[in-house]
Order: sequence, then C-alpha cells, then structure tokens
Amino acid sequence: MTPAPLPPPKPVTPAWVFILLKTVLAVLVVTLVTAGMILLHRETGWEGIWKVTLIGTCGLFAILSVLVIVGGALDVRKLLRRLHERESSGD
Amino acid sequence: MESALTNATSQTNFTTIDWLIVVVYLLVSVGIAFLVKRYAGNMTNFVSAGRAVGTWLGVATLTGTEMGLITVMYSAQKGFTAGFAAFHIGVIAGVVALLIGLTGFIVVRLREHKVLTIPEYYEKRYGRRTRILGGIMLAFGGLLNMGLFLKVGAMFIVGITGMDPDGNALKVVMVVLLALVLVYTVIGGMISVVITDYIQFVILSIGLLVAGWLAIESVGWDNLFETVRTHKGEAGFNPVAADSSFGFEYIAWMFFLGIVNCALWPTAVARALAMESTASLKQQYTWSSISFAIRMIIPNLLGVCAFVFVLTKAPDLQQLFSPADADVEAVNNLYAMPIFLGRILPAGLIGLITAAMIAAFMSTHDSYLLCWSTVITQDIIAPLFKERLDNPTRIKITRILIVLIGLYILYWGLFYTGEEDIWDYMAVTGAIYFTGAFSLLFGGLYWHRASSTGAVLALLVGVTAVLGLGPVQDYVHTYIPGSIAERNITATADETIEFEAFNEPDEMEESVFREMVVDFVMTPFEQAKPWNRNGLEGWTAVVRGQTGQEQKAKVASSWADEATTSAWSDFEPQVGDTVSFYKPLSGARVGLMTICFTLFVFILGSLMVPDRKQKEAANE
Repeated sequence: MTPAPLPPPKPVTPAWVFILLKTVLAVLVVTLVTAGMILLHRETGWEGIWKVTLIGTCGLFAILSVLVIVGGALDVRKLLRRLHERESSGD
Repeated sequence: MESALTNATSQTNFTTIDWLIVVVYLLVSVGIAFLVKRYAGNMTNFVSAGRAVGTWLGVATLTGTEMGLITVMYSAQKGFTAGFAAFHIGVIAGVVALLIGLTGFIVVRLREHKVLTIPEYYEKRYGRRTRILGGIMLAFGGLLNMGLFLKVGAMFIVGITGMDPDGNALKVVMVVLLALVLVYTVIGGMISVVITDYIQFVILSIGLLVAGWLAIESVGWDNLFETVRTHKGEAGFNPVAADSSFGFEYIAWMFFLGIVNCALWPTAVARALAMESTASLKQQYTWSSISFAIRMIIPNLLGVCAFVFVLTKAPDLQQLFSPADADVEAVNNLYAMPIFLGRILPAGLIGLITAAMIAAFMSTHDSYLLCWSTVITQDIIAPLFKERLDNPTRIKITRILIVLIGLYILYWGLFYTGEEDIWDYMAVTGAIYFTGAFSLLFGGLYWHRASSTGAVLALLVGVTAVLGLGPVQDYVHTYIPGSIAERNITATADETIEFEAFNEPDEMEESVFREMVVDFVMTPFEQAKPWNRNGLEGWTAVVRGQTGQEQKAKVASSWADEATTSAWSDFEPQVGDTVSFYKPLSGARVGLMTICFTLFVFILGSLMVPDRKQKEAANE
C-alpha cells in the first residue's frame, strides 16, 4: 500500500506580502514620477512637461515594439501549434 | 473651394511604388484569413482564438485593435485644434491602463468567469432578461459608435494618396476597404484577427515612430513649440487654462473614458477574455499602457505638426483650413494630417505608412465587426432561442451579421451630419452603452447586493447619453433646462434679428428649498441673463419659419431685444418667424451626468428591489 501523497509545503512568505510589496512599489513609482513632473512644471511650465512626455513615451514605445515583435512572433507560433494540436485531437 | 482641396491633395509624394507596397500588404492580410480558416470551426475559436493567446501577442492585438486609423485621425484632429494640450488625453489613458494592469480592476474577475462576452456575464449575474437588454444596448451604442469609422478612414486614404476628394473617390475607397475587411473577418474570425493585428503592430509601430520623427524634422523642433505658443497661447499647452477647450470637467471625463477603454469596451475586453491566464492578462494591460498612451500622443503630435506646417510652410493650405475671408467655409480639418504627411514623406516610406494606416483601419474594423456581430448572436438571438442554436448556425448568423453591419456603416458614413470632433462623437455614442455597463460590471463583480432590477434601470438610463450628440440636442433643445422658449421676431437686418424684449425679473425671495434643491439640480445647465449686454453670447439661436422649417446659428452678440448671429444656412429669417435659444451641453458634461445618474438608479433599484435569490458578487 502506497502512502498518501504529502500536501505541498506551505510557502514561507504568505502571498499577501508580495501583493503589498508590489502595491507599495507601484505607489512609490507613481509618486516619484508625479513629483518629478511637478518639479519640471515649476521649472519649465507645461511646455517642458509635454517635451519630456513625448520623448519618454516614444522611447518606451520603441523598447516595447522590439519586445512585442520578437515575443509576439513566438506567441503566434505557439498559438498555431496549439490550435493544430486541438484540431488533430478533435477537441 | 472644392478645387482648392483637390489641388491640395494632388500635391502628394505618393507614387506607383507606394501603391505596390499597399497592395502587397492587403494580399498578405487576406491570405492569412484563408490560411487559418480551418481552425475557425467552433465558436470559442472563432470568437476568442481558443483562449490561447500569449502575453506578447496579447499586447500586439490589444494595441492593434485600439490603435486604429480612426484613433490616429481623431487624435490628429485634436492636436490640430488644441495643440499640445491634447496630450493629456493620451497620458491619462496610459496611466489608467497601467493601474488596471497592476490591480486587474474588473478585467481579472471577468476573465475568471470564463465568459465570451460582457452580456454573457450579465446573464450569470443578473439573469437572462438583463443579458438580452444589455446586448441590445451594447449593440445600439457600439454600432452608432463605429458609424463614422469607414468614412474617416477613407478620408485619410484619399488625403494621403492624392485622389480627388470632390469626385466619387471617397465612396469608392469606402466600398473597397469595407469589402476587404468583410472578406477576412467573415472567413477567419478571431484567429485571423489576432494574427493580422500582430502584423499591423509590426508595421504600425515602426511607421508611427518614423512618421513622428519626420514630421518634427519637417517643421523644426523649436519652430513647433514657438508657433503653437504664438498662435494658441497658454491654451495650446495647458489643458486647464482659462481659454482652453478642455478644462477640469473634460479631464474627469477622460479618466472615466480611460477605464472604459481598458475594462468596459467590448473589443478590448474581448482581448482580455482571449488571454491564456489572468497573470498574462495583467501583464498584457501593464505593457499595453505604453501603447494606450502612444496611440494618442504620436497622432496628436502629427496633428500639431500639421497645424504648424499649414501656418508656416504652406500658405495654400492656410487658405484652405483657416480662410481669411469669414464668408468662405473652411475645409474639414480631418484632411490636414493626411495632406501634411502626403507632402513631407518620401516615396516608398509613404507607401509603408499608408499600409500601416490601412492595417490599423482593418484591424480595428475586423475586431469591431466581430465584436458587435458576436454580441447580437450570442447575447440577443441565442438567448431568445433559449440556447437551442448549435455552433455552425451561430457562426453562420455571426457571418451574416458582419456583412449587414458593414453595409450599415457604409450608409451611416454617408448620412450623418453632426459637427462634433470625431473623438467627442465616439465618446458620446459609446456612453450609451458604457455608462450602464460600468454600474453592472462594477456592481456585479464587487457588490453582493446588486440586483437585476437595478441593472435593468441602469441600462435603460444609459440611453440618455445620446443627448450629448449635437443633432439630438437640436431636436430636443426646448426641453434642455435653462433654454429660452420661442419669441416672435419683430425685425431683421442681415445677421441681426430683433424680437420681443427680455425684461429682468424682480428679485426672488430667498428660499432654502430653491437654494438646496433647484439650484443644485440646475448646476450643470447654464442660465442666461438675456436682458444683459451679450447675455446670450455663445448660445445657439433656433429660428422656426412660418412653414415649420428650422435652422440654427451661433449668437455672436446680443442685447435685451436683439441678437447678431453667424450666417444663416438655409433661409433668411422673416418678421413673424419665431426664435428660441439654448446653450449646447458638452459631451463631457452629458457623459458625466449620465454616469452619476446610472449609478444612482442602479444603487436605488438594487436596494429597493433586491433579487429573491442573492448571487455571490465576486467569486461566483
């Protein structure tokens, strides 16, 4: 007779700790960006804000584009393979 | 004027090579639909790509859907009319998408229910009648919303390629574009949509960045800001400046629209529901926040560059878009950006950008056609047949509906005559659906006391958002609180009409009831003091002729017994005609009022008429 499988070990750190840390991090980033924008507004007015926004978002979008072009191609391959497998198995 | 527009579009750099690039792209798109046709055999694959979309492909398809040619056009129009201040719309959209990606607000819980459409969730939570009503509202608002997509997209193609906008080119382009989209959406369903969205992302992301760069280079970085500063002043940068066309009310409306675009709008939610897991869904939204911002910011920039180009580099275009002679009608400023791009981009690149824009056009259309037809099939027709329809019949009905909706947008594009900016038109028509949907989804997912009565009331009240449309306000203007009833015209001279004089009323006695209730209710509606000098400035005068025909004009100046307006379009007012006045309500104000109203009736209905069998809110 085989013994009953042991239950998976309880994680040392509860999940809520990571959620809390992520939330704090997100709030911190948003606060820092907002503070930076306020300082920038004081120095340069709205014109400076929009210059930084334009350059910043375009830069981030360029990085995102590279990631999506590469990662997306792999995902398309995965999607077609999965659909093909489902079709073969008659699912 | 017509020949001036034709002359302006004809000066494009678009050549045969560019046409070749465009044709090759279109053939590849249609070819993909045929290649994946065999996988689109069941409804889950046809509508949700088998719920097997990975994170990066999810980002591409969400971006592809939301960054349509219509987005590029209306954002460029906002940039052209409002300058850099319009950037706030994109920034807000990006921030809201990021917050939703981090928190999973609404979308994660919706994905956990494993539904195909939003009304399907309504049935799980509120019952079948809510699903059918929700489906009808969704289809009604959604179809109105996409009514102008085809025409605006065709305007871009005509403007950039140099076709004759005064002939039948616009109609021909509309028909050809529609036929192409219909073919590959009907054949391939969501699988072909997802894959073409990916190809679109590749072309569009590169195309937009290059176009933005060349646009700035063509007018000069310093000149760009200097010209906006000179011609638009503080309002060209500050969205809350005193003379800005936006203001705090508009910004609040944009925040809500940000939530709508990510978490309530069915085409975006369809992408969320197609993701393989909730973790990849959150990643999809977090990464897509950059796209949500950039999809408006770069087109805004193109619009601002077009504005500067018109003013500083192209005097012929200046005459076209802001004629010095007040009697000459300006050309629709939607043409500004495509004509500008047609002149600054070199041959070859212009074909790539046009292919990218057509890609954007097609990926938005396919998603919307698929989305609305699915809603009608799954959420209106199938429940009415008590789910007796099998998969092949559903797919067949969906395909027929796709064609019918296509024919409708062709008709609506030629028929609608509203004067709003396209973005404001879309926000208002979308609000017919999403003001009610917000209450139902938010309440259903997070509040256990939400009831089906509250849901039905909220959906019905959402229809009042239609009052934000200009033509509707014209029709019902006498019922808008604060409007001034008809008075007889006593004399006319050119654009000035005289009427029975307004007298200042005696001061009313102070009343607590009036101050607390009436004044509060009337806060969103402007109250005129027509007995004062220019008390009606900015209002709309509606003259009704003795045979019943009506026309309107904006009041430029007024006095107690006369008003001078812009030119009358249809007929000269006569003595004996009547005139009434009303202040048009902005789409933002109507939208915000509708949200408050729908939430109010939803809560009230849920509390007063709870469901007999309470359903679990969050973790059903």
